[in-house]
Amino acid sequence: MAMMRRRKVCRFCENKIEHVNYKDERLLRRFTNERGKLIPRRVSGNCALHQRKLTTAVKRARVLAILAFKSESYR
Amino acid sequence: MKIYETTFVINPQSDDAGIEAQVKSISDIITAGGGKIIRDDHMGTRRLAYDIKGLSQGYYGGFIFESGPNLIANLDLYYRQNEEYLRHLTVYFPGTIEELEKSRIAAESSDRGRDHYNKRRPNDVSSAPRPVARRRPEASSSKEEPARPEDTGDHEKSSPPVEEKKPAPETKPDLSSNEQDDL
Repeated sequence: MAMMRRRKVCRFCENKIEHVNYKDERLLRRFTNERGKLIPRRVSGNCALHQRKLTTAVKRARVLAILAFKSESYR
Repeated sequence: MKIYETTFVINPQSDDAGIEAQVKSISDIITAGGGKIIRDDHMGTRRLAYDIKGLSQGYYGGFIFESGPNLIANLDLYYRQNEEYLRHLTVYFPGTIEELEKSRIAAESSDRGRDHYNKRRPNDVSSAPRPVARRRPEASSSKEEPARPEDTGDHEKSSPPVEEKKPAPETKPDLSSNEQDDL
């Protein structure tokens, strides 16, 4: 696990985005898995700041039924 | 005067006039309370991620406006008093309008192949429901490569490919690695 991956850049930092729009379903869904759970930062490659903003955005979107709290899984 | 953003969900009833009236009543409250609407941010009728009061679709309206602090409490009270607003959210908008545009543009720009994390879930109204249980076909056809872990920390889910006893000694699904390469 140690050296097999290149260094990941935070997608938001790369594009110099500061505000994560909680209404943007397409963007937010990229950072949730099939069950609707948030993807950890070590996987998504986000920096800490943007991961926090993303988290609040996802949670707001869930309240507004833009994202689900819990999705159907294949089990 | 700060910039706020409010979003609400209403029943997408058949007549547009009813929807317009409900949207307008929110904008009236904003302007009557001394706010200045900067932009409409209506998303229209969409499928809800979960059913609300038996409805599977909702009309999403929203405004970005500038106002003093007193208006926010009144707006929230109005939302809560009227049951037709199924969901509502009013937030302080710390960024600028340009940043809002930028985040939208970046979302539509290159996607580095992350969508294997999310199965295709079209949000259009006519999409069929996703199958809950997916039976793996017999070992003849290899559907998705086992080297592609689909879920983080979801080890139970990747067990079916292991049980399948592929004829060729391929790499088993990588149960230990939770990390994605191409994000």
